[in-house]
Amino acid sequence: MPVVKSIVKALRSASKGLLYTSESDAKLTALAWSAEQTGGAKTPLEAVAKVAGVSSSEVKSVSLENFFDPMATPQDWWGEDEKETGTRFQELKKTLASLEDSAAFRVGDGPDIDVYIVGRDPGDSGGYSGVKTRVTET
Amino acid sequence: MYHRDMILTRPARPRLLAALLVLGSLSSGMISPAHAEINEKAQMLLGNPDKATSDSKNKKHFLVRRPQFAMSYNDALRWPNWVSWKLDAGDIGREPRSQFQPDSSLPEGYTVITPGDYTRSGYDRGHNCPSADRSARAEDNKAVFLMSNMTPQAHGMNAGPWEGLESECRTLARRGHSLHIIAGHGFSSPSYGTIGKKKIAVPDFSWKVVVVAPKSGKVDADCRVIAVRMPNNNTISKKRWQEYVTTARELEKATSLTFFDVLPANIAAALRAKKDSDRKEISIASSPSTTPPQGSGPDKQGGSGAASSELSIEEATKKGFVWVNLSSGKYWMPGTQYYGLTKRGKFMSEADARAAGYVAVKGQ
Repeated sequence: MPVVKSIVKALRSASKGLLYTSESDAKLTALAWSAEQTGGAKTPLEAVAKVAGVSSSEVKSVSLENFFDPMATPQDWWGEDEKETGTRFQELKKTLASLEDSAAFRVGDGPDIDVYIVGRDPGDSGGYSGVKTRVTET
Repeated sequence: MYHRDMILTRPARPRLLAALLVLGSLSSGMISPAHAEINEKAQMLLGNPDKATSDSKNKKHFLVRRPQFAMSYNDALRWPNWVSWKLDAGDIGREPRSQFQPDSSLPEGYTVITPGDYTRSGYDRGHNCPSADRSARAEDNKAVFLMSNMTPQAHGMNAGPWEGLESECRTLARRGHSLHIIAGHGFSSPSYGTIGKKKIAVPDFSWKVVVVAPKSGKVDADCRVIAVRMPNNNTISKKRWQEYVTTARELEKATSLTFFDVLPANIAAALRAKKDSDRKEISIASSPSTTPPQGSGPDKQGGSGAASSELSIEEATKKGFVWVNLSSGKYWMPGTQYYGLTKRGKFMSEADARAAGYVAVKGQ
């Protein structure tokens, strides 16, 4: 059994039960890639392109701030449910920010867009960790 | 802010209104509009299908007029009976998508729907007036993300043929047409399901009427009319919008609405009867269609090298395909005059075109 990286355990627990809001609602699923799986990619964008099987030009990056803002930054109309979820998204964002060069990477043009929020694992392993979700934009 | 007192409570005289339509539309019918008509008067030129009024006691037919669109809001259903808007090339831009928000401008006593009211419902937050139709300015995009513009739509429809027709409308607008669009939803029987604590109604079908005014802007009996009715379920995700074409008259019967009530009677009658079919300018081989949702079907990896007669001009342009005129044996590059438009033709990669012996049209 492969050893589960502690960061992945943290991401699983941080994302458990959360749904990212777009036109649809989608779970955020923790992921872990080895250097081999990403073909030795030097950047998270290249890693995403490799694993998603697309060219780098089809991958658009968006900052963590930008991606999590709608879910994590309090709005004046938020009720208790939104505030609770908002706090959990803040935690998830923080955990993802601990990965190097982490950002949200969107693959394709839609209407269904896979989003990989990944960063390089600290250290020399060449591995990547993060979460994957999906947004609907029509 | 918007002005509720600007509403026409009865239709203006047809001759005067027709003249206004022509004058108003001429300025927006230009091929490269630098400024699109984003004002309340422009969004409801085809009429008021259920005679909605701005009286807040009229809770099932409450007329809301904004610069970006007009709607008849139904508080009992928690979504609009119809939303109507005008679409020109100048409305389409690159503004980032806004965030879903409750509509706090609804009158007191109305139930305010939040984005969370759709969460885990099994339905998408389906835009009536789409985001991309109002993507030229941030404040316009913000207006279409108010939850009063949303209706529960099955993902398979929302991201499938519904989106396919929305894209086709923008393609027509980019070509210089002025589109007048009305969208809404209906029920096949008196009882319906609801979602969430606030009991948002789930419609059985969604409908749309699109009047395509030619480049001159004049709305008359010659205009193309695309009317569709799509079942609100996930089985249709891979279908093309063309399979759901009907007439405005049929939609009137299914919804008790009346379309084109402000147009002269003979023009209204002609438009109501039109059933869209493949047009002369778009050959059968190039009929636009939706691409299946990402992650399904054999095209996931981009289908390199595959010739396709099923792509829309927009999709083919994005893929960098050329358009081969099968009659002449010559091919056109994206953005050129006959790209996607000759009677017999198909899209393919330039490499494939050359390998098959086709030659580029000179002087492109």
